[in-house]
Amino acid sequence: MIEVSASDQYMTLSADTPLLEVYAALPAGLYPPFPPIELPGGVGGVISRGGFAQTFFFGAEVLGLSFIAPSGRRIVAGGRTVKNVQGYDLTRPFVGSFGSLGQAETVTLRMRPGLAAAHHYRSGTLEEVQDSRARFLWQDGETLHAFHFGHVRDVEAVIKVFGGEPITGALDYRPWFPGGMGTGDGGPLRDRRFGWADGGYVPEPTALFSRVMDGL
Amino acid sequence: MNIFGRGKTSGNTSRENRRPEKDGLMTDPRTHTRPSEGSAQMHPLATELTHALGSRKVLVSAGERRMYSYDAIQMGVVPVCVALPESTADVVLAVKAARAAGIPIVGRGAASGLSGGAAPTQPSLVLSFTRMTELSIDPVRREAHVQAGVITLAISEAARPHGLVYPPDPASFRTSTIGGNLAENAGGPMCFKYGVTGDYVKALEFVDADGEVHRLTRDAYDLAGLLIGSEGTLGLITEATLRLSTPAKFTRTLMSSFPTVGQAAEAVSSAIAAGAVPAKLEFMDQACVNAIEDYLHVGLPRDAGAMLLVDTDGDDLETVEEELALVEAACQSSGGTVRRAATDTEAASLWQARRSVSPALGRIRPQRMNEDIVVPRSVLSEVVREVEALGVASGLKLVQFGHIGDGNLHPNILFDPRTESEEAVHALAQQIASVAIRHGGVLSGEHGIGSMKLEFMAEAVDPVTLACLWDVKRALDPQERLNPGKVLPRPGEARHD
Repeated sequence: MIEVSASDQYMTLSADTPLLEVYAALPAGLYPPFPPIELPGGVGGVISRGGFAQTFFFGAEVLGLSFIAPSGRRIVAGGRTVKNVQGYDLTRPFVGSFGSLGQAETVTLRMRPGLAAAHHYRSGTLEEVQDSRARFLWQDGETLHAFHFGHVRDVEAVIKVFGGEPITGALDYRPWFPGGMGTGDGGPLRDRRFGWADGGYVPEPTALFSRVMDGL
Repeated sequence: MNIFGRGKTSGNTSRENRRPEKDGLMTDPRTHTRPSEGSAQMHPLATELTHALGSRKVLVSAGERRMYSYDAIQMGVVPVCVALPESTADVVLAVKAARAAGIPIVGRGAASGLSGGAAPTQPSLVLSFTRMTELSIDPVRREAHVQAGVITLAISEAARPHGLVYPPDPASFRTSTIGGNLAENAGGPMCFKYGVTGDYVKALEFVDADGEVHRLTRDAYDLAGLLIGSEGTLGLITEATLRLSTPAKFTRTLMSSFPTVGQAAEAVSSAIAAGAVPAKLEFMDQACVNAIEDYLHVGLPRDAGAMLLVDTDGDDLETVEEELALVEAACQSSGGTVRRAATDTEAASLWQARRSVSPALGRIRPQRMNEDIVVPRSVLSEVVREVEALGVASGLKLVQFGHIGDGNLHPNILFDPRTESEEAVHALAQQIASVAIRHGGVLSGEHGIGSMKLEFMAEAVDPVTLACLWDVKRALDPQERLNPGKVLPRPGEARHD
């Protein structure tokens, strides 16, 4: 299920929707908060892991979601609007909670406008591009990727600084994670937050977070 | 005038640097002893805190305490005492003392909030953070390290010499504190393009209901995101690390007037659909424009049904101009009359008019109920028309303005409690909230629920989710001692006035 509101610049979709299906359903000139690649678990997986490759605050791009909490209750968090301080914001702790607060059913994502977009790659490491303004930066092996969208000249400028060659065709990273996409060094992917490794290892929640988790 | 002074850029807050208005509130026995307010009548918690923190950090007299019973819009209950902590250690001490005494705790910054969030609903300990003003900038990491009492504007002022800026700009940013902004997840005109307060938080320190200190980061398990906007009901934020950004090199401004509000809303949708991302996109209805014009006489179009005020910005002048042209074309095709600001001075004058909405409205009636609804942009024209019609039908004075790019509207009901029914005001407020909810929106975008919108929550949040929110509250504040009577309604709870 993908429902797109181009005029309000959001989309509501089933959590199991693959990322590239989202790209295929996008209205012209609008982009979701992840790059055009495939990752395990689709959109729900990305939300659970707190995003991938973003250089911005990812939580703000998740406008709302419904999820089944560990207690079995169905919780509706957030909504469809960018601003929302109506009760406690459960979308923020859910994003990046690695499934500990439950399983997402539907997700509402903000789409942002871009009159142009580009995905380039070159050899290198993330440490070399600390100052890059690209919206997404990640490293697979010794290859560095940048994906950016925005105004035409802005995209040209960001990609010119990054260098490299344009990517043609979609990247599907799912086969690299047969045991699930967890965190850890030595895995095939890195972004500014984590190394991403095959297997189910995830960071430990704090005791305080566990108290909230137990309450739900 | 910045009545609260500015946060320092480094070092401890010394007595010499204490803010003048607080000096006027000091419980110095040489200046403040009155027979009726002697220590014999002090609440036991006040006595304990005076002993533990020292008399200069605790306000005990009735007159002093009364000044901490209200925020910018709501009267509350006079606190049993007020503590003015200067450090996280002071906060811990006060929280533990209040916990032992069984007294609720209400955190407070500049109290410029518009939802009753900082107004106690029970006899409480008020923790006023206005002395926690340490502020430092890390230009390499592009971060500001702030204590909760730092004035919002002071962050950008400290960052500017390093070529950096803190974008969130709530209307009260000259007086509001960052702690209050975090508690309400405050927004402002810049937030359409640049995001709200919480989007800039990299790390938080807070004191929980037991007086324990926690430091939170946000790469995973984003508990900070839960604390932000929780109105001091889950913990007391004492420090934050904030992300700074570089200011745009170029800004362009235009004003457009429209015969009807529907046309203004249509122009907004068209401009955004065309790919424009204005830095600011503000709306005022005719009543609001006239209120400002009566106040400032800056030549705003009194006959217009609605007015938009728009900034585009960026580092590439051509792109900024192109974006402004997109907005201009959208306004004109929707029947708007466009005036571009020719100079920075003219642009500043237009924005000064927008920032003067609150004082302008204050001249019309002595009190107001300030709504903060958010709706999807596609239904803006319908919502604005419906709200307008409700205002007319009520016979009360209603004006509308807001951050229309975000769909965030501030319908304000202006009234005189001596001659107009507060019940009628409340009924109209509830009808407006219902309009927002019916159109897929929310009760509040940036002011918070506080106590004033508590009753509307039952309509806005489904019972299962509301029960879960209560479970979150109980997980972090089992005895419900932190800012009771805010954010979450109890079933059948009466309105607090």
